[in-house]
Amino acid sequence: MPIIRTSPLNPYDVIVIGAGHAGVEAASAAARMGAQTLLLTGNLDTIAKMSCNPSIGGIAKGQIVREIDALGGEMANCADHTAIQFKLLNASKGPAVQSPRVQCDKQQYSLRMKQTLEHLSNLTLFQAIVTKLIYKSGKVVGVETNFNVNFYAKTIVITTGTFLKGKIFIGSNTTNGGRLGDFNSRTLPESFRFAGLNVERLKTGTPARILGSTIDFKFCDEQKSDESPTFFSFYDTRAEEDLNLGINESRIGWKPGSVERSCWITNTDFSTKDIVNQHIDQSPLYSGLIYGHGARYCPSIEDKYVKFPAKETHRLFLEPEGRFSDEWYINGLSTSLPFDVQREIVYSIPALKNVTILRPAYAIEYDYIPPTQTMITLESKMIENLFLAGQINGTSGYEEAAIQGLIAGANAAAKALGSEEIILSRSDGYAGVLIDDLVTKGTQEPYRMFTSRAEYRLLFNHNSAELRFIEKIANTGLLSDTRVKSIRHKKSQIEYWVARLLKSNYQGKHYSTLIDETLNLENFAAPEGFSILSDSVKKEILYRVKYSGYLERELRQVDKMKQQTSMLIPADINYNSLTNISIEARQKLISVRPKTIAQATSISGIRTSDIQQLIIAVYRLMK
Amino acid sequence: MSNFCTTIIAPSTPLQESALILLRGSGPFSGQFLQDAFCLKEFPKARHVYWGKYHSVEGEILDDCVFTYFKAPSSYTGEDSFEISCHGNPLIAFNIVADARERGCESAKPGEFTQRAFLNGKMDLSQAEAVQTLISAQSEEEITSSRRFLSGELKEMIKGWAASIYSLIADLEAGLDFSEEEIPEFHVEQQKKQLKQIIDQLSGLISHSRYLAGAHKYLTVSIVGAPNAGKSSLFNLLVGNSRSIVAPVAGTTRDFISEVITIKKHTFRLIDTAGLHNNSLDPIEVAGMERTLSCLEDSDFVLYLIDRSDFFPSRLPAIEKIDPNKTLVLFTKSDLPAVFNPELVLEGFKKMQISLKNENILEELSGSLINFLKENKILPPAGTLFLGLRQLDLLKHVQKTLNLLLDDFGTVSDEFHVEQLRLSVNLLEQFMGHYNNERTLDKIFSSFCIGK
Repeated sequence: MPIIRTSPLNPYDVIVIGAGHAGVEAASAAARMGAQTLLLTGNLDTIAKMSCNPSIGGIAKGQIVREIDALGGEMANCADHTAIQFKLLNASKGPAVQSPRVQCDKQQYSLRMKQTLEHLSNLTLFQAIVTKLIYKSGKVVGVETNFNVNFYAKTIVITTGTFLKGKIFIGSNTTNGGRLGDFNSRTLPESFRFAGLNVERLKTGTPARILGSTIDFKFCDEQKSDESPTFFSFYDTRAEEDLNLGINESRIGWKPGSVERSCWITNTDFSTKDIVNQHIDQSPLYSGLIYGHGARYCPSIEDKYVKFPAKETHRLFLEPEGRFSDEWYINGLSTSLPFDVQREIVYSIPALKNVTILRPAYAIEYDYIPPTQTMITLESKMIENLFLAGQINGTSGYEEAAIQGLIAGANAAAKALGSEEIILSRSDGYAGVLIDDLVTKGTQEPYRMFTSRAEYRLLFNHNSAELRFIEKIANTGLLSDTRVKSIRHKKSQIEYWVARLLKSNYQGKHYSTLIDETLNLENFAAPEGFSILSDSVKKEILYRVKYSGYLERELRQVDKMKQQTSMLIPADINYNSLTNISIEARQKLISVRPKTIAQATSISGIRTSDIQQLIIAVYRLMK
Repeated sequence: MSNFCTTIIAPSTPLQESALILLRGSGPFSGQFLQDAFCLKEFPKARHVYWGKYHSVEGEILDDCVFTYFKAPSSYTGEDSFEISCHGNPLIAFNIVADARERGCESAKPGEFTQRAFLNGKMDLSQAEAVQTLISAQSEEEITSSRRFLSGELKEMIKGWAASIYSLIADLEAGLDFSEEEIPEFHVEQQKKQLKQIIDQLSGLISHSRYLAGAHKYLTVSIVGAPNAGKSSLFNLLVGNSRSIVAPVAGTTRDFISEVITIKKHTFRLIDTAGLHNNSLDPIEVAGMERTLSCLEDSDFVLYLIDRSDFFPSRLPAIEKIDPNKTLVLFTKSDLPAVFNPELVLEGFKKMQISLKNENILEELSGSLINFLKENKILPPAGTLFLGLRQLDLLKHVQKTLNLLLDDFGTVSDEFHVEQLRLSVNLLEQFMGHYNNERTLDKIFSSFCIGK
């Protein structure tokens, strides 16, 4: 690890503030690209801490984790090596919506990620709380810390999660903190406001934790690990040194797939509803104490009973948090009710009647920077050299944070090093959809990825992640040369076989009709040479052949979309005459005068509906 | 390339001798143009009717006109615009347009006013298309239909289908994105039923819809029959009493007399053919008959005339070539005694006995004719929607997509079904907007209790 630099004359290329899931990916991506990088965290013991549920992946999220691996990130590998349960969700459905998920050992995950960072070249870790940003002629140039030591950099990535003015609610009890037991930052948000950024509030929450040995499992149904695990990392293209960073001995974690623990499903009781309804006025969500918006897909138990009064009981998942600790997570029971009510709720549930509660549930409200103020590179539109990723952009979830961190870190490094920026589009994968949604539409609630958000979902099966990004990132340094080579080889192998199978027949039948829906390799009468391919390559080939009609149509739509966004706007266009575009958008278009629709999209305050109207207008003008 | 800096002008009424010709203009220069051309002391007030003398650039007075200025956005196009009524001499109108061009206006291209109205957000695409339909409408039904578009009735129907499809998408997506949650089981059969309902309504609309006939394409009606059956008298009666001759038909290739007529607000091309003979040896007559027979085939409808007072059932000329479904048999000269009872001959044909001497004949004949045409669906039945090519194509594409989906439903994983449904909504919303995946999520979160 290089020596620490504090002189403005010798700035870092990139400083990353915050070492959560976004921060670690930002820092490692920047360092891998060759940028001199400093990662600042308020506490080195909480690197990549899983503050909420003990799982990584899930529907749409699992695809994102595989994309992180395809982009050279760390989350996939770390999750595989610290997983205690593997599950492929939607296994009975088509490949596009199948999503891997693991339950992780939370502490091992955090420790392994720290170890990974400790061994990365170009990266310096340092424990300090950033109190203020240093600006110089409209650009950010450095940070002040609580030790009165300043650090300087060409670019700065903010990945502060829920720590900006984080406020924790347990009933009417409130404490300042970015997480239960942690500090928060009251001064850093002022630095953003000072520079003219609009800062708003969001809310999220987490359930109570309990002692596993006190759970009555006879009231639960077991949810076992899959017999054969689906890994996040692409071990067929990742070289050994790429995975281990030269740490050959005492590597933390274990062989992927080697440990199995079950989760358990149970339900709330009829009496739970009465308890919630009796105490609803004590919930800060309903008494008006919390201003921030919460997510609709992650409601507290009081939200569930209030919004769906006809539903008598709700499903809960009991999830172990690790291999060595007996702390369990009650998935589905997040609440901000006072602790004595929480206790009553927990005890009303048959499986949890005699349970020992280890930590209370709580809600947390925090500052975020509405992401319409951010460009598609995740650089702030207003403050040059400032990049933003993770919950500060209004997202929720480890995976959503991590992929943004990776892209923000890579673009910060690219800017500092003077290399080309990395822009992922909606047709590349979930990473592109996520960032495009954020910067063009913004979000009113913590944003979570769903497969239905992707127009080209059929192309985004988790198995194809590497193939989709390779050409965009081959020269960035995010991937080792060896890996770039093997991904390209894999890609050409797949393309060769897909073309060959689409062109040929077997006993008079087209191959697409010979492949069954499960893409079963055993039942497939393959031509010679096919059998020696790896299973993941085979599956990809079969998917592309079986559903070629659907996939080709999707590809045609991608082409159409690309044509539209690269469409040139006539220089003499009269925006004032386009009255179906909002006045605000028209004023911005007039001042920026974008050359293409894609550029117009990157202007702050321009909504998707404005862009659609603009496309119609340009199309008509061209005719 | 049209652009909105320009001010356009064009005559809005046909350039022919008439009482008035209306000129219309639109664009930012409108008010200034009126002030200059009519030498107004001040800028014209919006929505005031002015009288004034149109001065050319050279100062010559071209005409006395009545004119009105409209201020954006309260105008048809949503821009500043104007209307000028001049005297009904095409030359005057032509001079004014030419002078306006000298003053910086441009001649409007066909449909440009409506295009501007669309681009300025004054109407949506289906309304803009309806305006085109209204202008080229050939019948009262078409006009009513266009008005239904203009009032957005089609849009409402499409919105309804889009909402049903969105709701189906939401159910399927809930099963894909939230498969671990307590999402109620949807029965494939029930979803199929839901889908089928949309398809049925859509098919209903399509079957009640017609391509809008292009301008000057009329239904062709031929009058045929033996010589002296009264063909020409009938022709003259229908033409002579036709209240409006829409347009003369240019150069028919056949040697028949034809005219464009309107009967009960429907427009037709009426053809008087050469007489049909049973056994003629005269080469001229044979050639004429051949032309008549070929005309018969090309006609949308045939009036087959038989002289009631002088015919033999076994000797009806060319009767084997006559299609009962598109023929009305008229027994003429009903004031004279009949040789055979017409009721007993020509089974399967719709028959009518007429006398051209009867003073109500035109009214009776018109009524029967229109009824017959509607019954046989030669004329569209009441309530028919007239759609532009693009609109009908879109609806048919949706119909086809949904039908394909219905065939496959339940046999492949739901994400493939969602693709078809998204495509359908996209097509439907080309009338209005775009597929919006936020809308699906809104629907899911309001319908199901999601969240671990």
